[in-house]
Amino acid sequence: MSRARAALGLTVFLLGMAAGFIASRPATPQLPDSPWASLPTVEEPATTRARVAMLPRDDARGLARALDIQLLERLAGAIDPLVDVEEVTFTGATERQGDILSAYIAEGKALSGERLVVGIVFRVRDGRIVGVN
Amino acid sequence: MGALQTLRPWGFVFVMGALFGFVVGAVGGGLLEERSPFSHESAAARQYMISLLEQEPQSLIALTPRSDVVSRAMQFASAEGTAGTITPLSLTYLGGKSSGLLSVHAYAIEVRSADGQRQFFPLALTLVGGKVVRRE
Repeated sequence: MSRARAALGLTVFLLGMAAGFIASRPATPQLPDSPWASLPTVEEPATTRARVAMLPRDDARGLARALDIQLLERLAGAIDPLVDVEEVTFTGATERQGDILSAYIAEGKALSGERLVVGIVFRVRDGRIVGVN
Repeated sequence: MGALQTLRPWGFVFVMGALFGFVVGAVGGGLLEERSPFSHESAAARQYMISLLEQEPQSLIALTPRSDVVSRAMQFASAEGTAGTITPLSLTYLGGKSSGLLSVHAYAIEVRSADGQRQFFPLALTLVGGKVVRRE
């Protein structure tokens, strides 16, 4: 009898837990349909993979050798306000008429110590980085 | 009355389970989302991009933090000045990531300008609590 009661109690608790879990999930808003086509994704360009790896390594000399001053200025603007880049993650790339846009998310700390994430997008043409946003 | 007395302890157990499940769901879900290497495209980010390309200042204003009346007037004036000057051709989501309330989403946009030139450029949106706080 007491075993049956314990099993029933556990079942009721689990049912309540399931109901609570479902109630905790906020209703996810539906993505609005895009009226335009989406381009196919492409692989991460090797040139950007090598360059972004220098950011969490704090390799300022390597970046100075790899990118010209205009691109470095654009990259500085892209990672602003991060002063300490801890991780850079490739999120996706797409291509149109020879131009590849390769996107990354950089995670780190601002001067205030606040943890932040910023987006960096490289433009690659003929295997060379020609722009940074 | 007797039935109510009998059911009361089970109701209490159910409510305790529900509270536990709610806490586990809220905390665990948040942690999973934070530790996930990628985040899903946000509906607010997609809507912002659509409004931007369709030059709908009202929607853009609704998806940005509250600003002063002059800034909003400038957004309307800017939209009127550029209305019909570009034709969007494609909108591609390049991925994003969340860290707490902050999330970043990157897009590739292809448009044709009024003189027929095609332009292909990226745009990264930073959202805080569903509002776009940075666009570059």
